[in-house]
Amino acid sequence: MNADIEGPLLTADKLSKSYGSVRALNEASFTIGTGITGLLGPNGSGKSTSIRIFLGLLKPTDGRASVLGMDVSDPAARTRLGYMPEHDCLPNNVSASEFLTHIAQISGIPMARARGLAADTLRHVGLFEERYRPISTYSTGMKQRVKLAQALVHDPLLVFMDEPTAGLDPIGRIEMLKLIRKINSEFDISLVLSTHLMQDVERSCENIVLLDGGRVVHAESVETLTEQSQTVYVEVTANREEFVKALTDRGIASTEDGGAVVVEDAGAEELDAVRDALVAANAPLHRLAPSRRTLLDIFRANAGGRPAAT
Amino acid sequence: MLNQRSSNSATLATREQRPAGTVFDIGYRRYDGPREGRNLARRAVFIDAIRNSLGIGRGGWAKVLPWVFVAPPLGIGGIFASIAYFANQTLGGEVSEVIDLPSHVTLFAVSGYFIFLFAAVMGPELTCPDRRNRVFDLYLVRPITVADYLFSKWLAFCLMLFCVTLLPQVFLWVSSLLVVPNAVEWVSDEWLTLPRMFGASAVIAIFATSFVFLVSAVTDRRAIASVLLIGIVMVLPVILTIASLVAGEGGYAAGLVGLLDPVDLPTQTVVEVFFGEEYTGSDVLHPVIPIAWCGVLATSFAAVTWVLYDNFKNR
Repeated sequence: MNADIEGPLLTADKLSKSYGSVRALNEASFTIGTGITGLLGPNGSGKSTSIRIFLGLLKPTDGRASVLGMDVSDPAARTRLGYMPEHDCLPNNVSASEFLTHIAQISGIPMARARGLAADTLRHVGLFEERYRPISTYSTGMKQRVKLAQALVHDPLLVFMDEPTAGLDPIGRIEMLKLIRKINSEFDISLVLSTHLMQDVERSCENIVLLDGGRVVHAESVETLTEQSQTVYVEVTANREEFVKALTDRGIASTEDGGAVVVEDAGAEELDAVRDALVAANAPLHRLAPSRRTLLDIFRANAGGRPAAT
Repeated sequence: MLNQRSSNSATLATREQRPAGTVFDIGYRRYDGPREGRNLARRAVFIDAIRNSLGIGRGGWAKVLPWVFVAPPLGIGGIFASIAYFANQTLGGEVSEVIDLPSHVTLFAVSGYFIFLFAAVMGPELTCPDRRNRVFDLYLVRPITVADYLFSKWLAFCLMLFCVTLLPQVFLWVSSLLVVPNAVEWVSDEWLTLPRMFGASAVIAIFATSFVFLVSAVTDRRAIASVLLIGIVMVLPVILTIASLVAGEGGYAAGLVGLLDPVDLPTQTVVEVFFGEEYTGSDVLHPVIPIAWCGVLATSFAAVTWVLYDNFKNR
């Protein structure tokens, strides 16, 4: 995948950004490679600030940011970047075809090729038949697709997507997520998704950068992150109290969830202790299910119990 | 860092592999052609601004509107040229004794108001919708800077205004050429009129463009910007006329009041300086002062506009 890119696509090195006394980013360091990466965090965690710095729209107060191996202050760094903002960003009185042709030219594609690329991209997002209609006549879902198309029209290496499923109905949301996966798997374009919706991240992303209060809490693959936070559910048919006591005697903290005894962060040692406690308490085992925590659990744990969108 | 990606990542099924009756999917095609960077981006913004200011590629009303304001000054020049041509055909060499064409200075003063109205109506169209619809953000995430964007739009509109200002003068110049008995002698005597026309038109275009862009930067609503501009064009001269009457004719006060009218300053005072005529305050102000003041104002307008746009970027 993305055979022409060596090293990380994005690098944040002790990146800080302050707005007066408010510190939006606080020495955030992370790298983003190829694939689909989710930029996750509560409101005010620094997601938008990070994206705006990488897009060259904001200057960092301190630290260094680079995209595709170039410093973000260099306009040439943006030649192969795409951006799909959350907010409306489309003109009303022109057709999608004309708008995309213009945007391709702004990205440095000569006119002779820009028209062809605009038509191709609109075909990929499912708007080929409607490409000559004024954008003002499009539905919300169609406008969202035009927003995506303008981010792709110049064949970028990396696309930033800010809340790509915002405002879409459930079917539109599923289609958009499918399109996002297709862009990465078939078009060979890497994506950075900034979103509140953890289900979107879990469904689409391979990697995650979790921000909170301007600091990086986690920056790793979704697989690793959920593996590291294994939870074990143990259900016994009798002697539950004795089993819990046996766990406590072995230094294992547990909680109760319905009929199950829940052991958090259960590594190999903890699983051995669970086995020994079951034997000691003479508790007949009904079910032992290692369950990965969802990103929502991790998010909640890091956000100190603050409510999070699902 | 970036090597060339494979030219076609899509799998293309051959005719033999494809079942009969299936739609051929050409897949995603990589773009491996040239990427021309900022220069092309600037040119694209420039061309788009020219098309926008003439309503090309827009609805019917957008196509008609510019000509409502461009037609009168062009028409005046065209009418003079036509009268001169037909009179010359009818009366021959004696036409100059019958036809008394207006001076270039008079035509600049008359057409000036139409040019400013054209600028007030069409100028905000170039920049306000980009900010209102937030298309401006999409420009800045591409290899283009705020200065590139603004200067390309500014240059496009300035060029438009220059043409609209100059063309009636060219018509008048041609009219004058048609009514004189000896064209060669007249051209050798009047050749200086040409650079004066070009210079005065350039000053008017630069000043009006900077003025319109500044007012358009204050609001992202095109209609409000136009109303503000038309208000300034229509109301300010009335206030300044009253002020100049209070100040009395001649003297520094009247001269300084004359420098404050955004329409009169470029279309009358500076034009009169260019054509070597007397202007309001000419008895006390050096001829360089109106031109320099015009330049200072245009530069200040452009600088403030740039600062405002840089702030929009950082919002």
